[in-house]
Amino acid sequence: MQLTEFQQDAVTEIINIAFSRAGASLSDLTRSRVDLEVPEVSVHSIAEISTAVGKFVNGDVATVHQVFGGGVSGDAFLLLNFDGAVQLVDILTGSQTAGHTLSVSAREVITEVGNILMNACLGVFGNLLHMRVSFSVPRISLDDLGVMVRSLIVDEKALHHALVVGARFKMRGHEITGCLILVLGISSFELFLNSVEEWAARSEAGEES
Amino acid sequence: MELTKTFLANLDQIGAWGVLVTDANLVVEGWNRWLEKHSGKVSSDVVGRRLSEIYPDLAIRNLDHYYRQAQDGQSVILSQRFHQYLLPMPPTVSTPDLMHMQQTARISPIVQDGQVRGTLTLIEDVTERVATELELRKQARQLEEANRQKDDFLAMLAHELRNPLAPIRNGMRVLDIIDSGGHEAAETRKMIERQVSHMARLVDDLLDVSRIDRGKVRLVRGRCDIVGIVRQVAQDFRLILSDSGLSLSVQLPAEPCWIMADEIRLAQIVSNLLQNANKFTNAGGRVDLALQVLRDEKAIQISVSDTGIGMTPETLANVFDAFSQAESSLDRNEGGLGLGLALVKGLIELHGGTIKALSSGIGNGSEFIVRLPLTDAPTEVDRPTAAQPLPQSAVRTVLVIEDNQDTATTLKTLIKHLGFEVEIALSGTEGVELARSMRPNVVLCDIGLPGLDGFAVARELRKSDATRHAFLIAQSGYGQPEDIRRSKEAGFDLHLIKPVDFKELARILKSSTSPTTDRPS
Repeated sequence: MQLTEFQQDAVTEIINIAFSRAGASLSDLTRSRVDLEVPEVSVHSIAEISTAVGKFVNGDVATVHQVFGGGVSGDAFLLLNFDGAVQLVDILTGSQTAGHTLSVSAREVITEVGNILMNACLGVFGNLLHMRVSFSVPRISLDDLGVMVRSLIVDEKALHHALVVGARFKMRGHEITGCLILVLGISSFELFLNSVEEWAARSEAGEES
Repeated sequence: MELTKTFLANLDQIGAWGVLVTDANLVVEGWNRWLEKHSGKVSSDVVGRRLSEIYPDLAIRNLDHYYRQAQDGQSVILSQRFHQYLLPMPPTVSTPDLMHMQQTARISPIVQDGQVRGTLTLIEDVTERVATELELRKQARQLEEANRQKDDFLAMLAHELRNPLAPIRNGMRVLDIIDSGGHEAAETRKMIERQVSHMARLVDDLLDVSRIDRGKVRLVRGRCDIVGIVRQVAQDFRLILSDSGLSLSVQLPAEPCWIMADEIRLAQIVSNLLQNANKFTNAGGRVDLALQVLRDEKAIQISVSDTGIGMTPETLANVFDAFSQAESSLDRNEGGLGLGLALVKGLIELHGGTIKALSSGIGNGSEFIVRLPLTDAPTEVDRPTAAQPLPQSAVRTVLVIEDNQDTATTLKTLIKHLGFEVEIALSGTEGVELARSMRPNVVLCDIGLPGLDGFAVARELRKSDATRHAFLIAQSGYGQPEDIRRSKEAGFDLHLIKPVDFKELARILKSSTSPTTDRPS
């Protein structure tokens, strides 16, 4: 499935707003400037998600997962390459991880970062699209990307779509790219797109900024 | 409220968490026994009061917005690393580094019929984990410091060990020149020469590894024909391997292949790999040396394989670590410091290349594969210091300024045998005075002199009419570009690194026209 140009622009704009908020939250937390950019947004059927995600991450990945429900429901994931996750923890906390590991503390940091990012996205979706969205507590897992993607496909029998968003963290001269995935059932996805279009139309008409 | 109490009592039986329940306005409804125990506040004191009233510092520490997020339906996690703690409580581990219990907290909305009815906070005590991490970090810092001190010590040790080698070598040359003692003495001198060379190599390896570790090796890059270098090293090693009963097979491209690299360091890399094969292959074995150009990957690949004792997976994992060697329990333990391969890896990485080691196990030989980037090299060689030719007039008098009496004396003897008049001075001050009366053609001056150092000596000599035109040669244990620059600035014409190769020195002294080069390492 492909977004129309109008939908693509609208979704990208909404995610940019969310990333900007998440970046501000991370900057507050770390007392250092953190910029979060959206290099690319695309929509895929769940069966073809592997290639889309593979553009941003591969091999062993750290995945933060949150379930959300309300006006639209589904699953949100932040994926980071294992190396990228270790590096992100180091630059956010200003420390140097000994060895090539993600300790319990480091996993909590990644979980909180994922939580901030996904809450910002889902929160902005909720506010702008006038939908109430509630979220579960985030959980982190470490897996091979293939295993992680297969778990998405195997678990879901119904037709699902995935919104795949690149997430580029920039801080202290470093740049780490991960990937945000929102998996939505077909009805939630249609509702989401309709709301996005309505929001974009209202914005164009000058009703919202 | 009764339901909340029952719920909390049940949670207390499941695990050791702090459990805090509020209504939608953040008025406390539930406060479990864990919280009572650790906060010192009993349930009856907090239930019914607003959370912000009980803990006003939540707003000061900017944590109240997490509760607002929960009121909006969002679940949040507060990691210890970012926040240290949610609610202030005494630490559960006694350590001077921690004033409060370290906590990871999760705050979730309690949603009923699509409406947020309240919040649930779970607090986990992670103080013990954090205290352990802090202790480990402290120990890691101490180990790093100890390691740095060891590196500094090794660098100083290697530097100090070099000094006595110079007069010993010079002494051997003197004995060769005066040809004393007949056949047995000559054989003994050769033996001493071999052992001194071996020791000099060990000391140089030690110094190089220490410099690489401290990022103090700078390459003198130029346009090199890697095929020619490998061919030359192979030729040098053919006899050595043959003496060990090993055959050497060499496969090289017919055409030269140019890369930007430090020629001497490249030779050192190939030499160390062949030396390694020689050490760990028993007589009757074979060593294969091959060079391939990988045009597609813009790289050259050098492989050195042997039919030697091979490596276990454990040895293979640490083969490039300094001071690591094949286990001595294997029959063949050739001694050495275990620095050769560490040095090879460090030098290859300085060239932007990679090395990997392969072995199918004990008895199955080993292979080392080096890759170096193939670059479109500029034609100009950027070797920083080309030595100046000596003045056309014949050199007759040499002044040696050196505080090590043995080095000074043996140098004097050697230089005298070249046909020069030589005087020695054992300090900078003495050297300057002697130079003014002696008016030498060449001054060979140590840098590390007590009192007036070599730089000051050069400046003094350049000031005086009597010594202004002398050819000044610095001798130093240090050869970094910075050291060479300082020598030039002080007025030296040439900077030589100890131990000075006597043949090279003789060539410099004898020749008035042919150029020579010094070489910072």
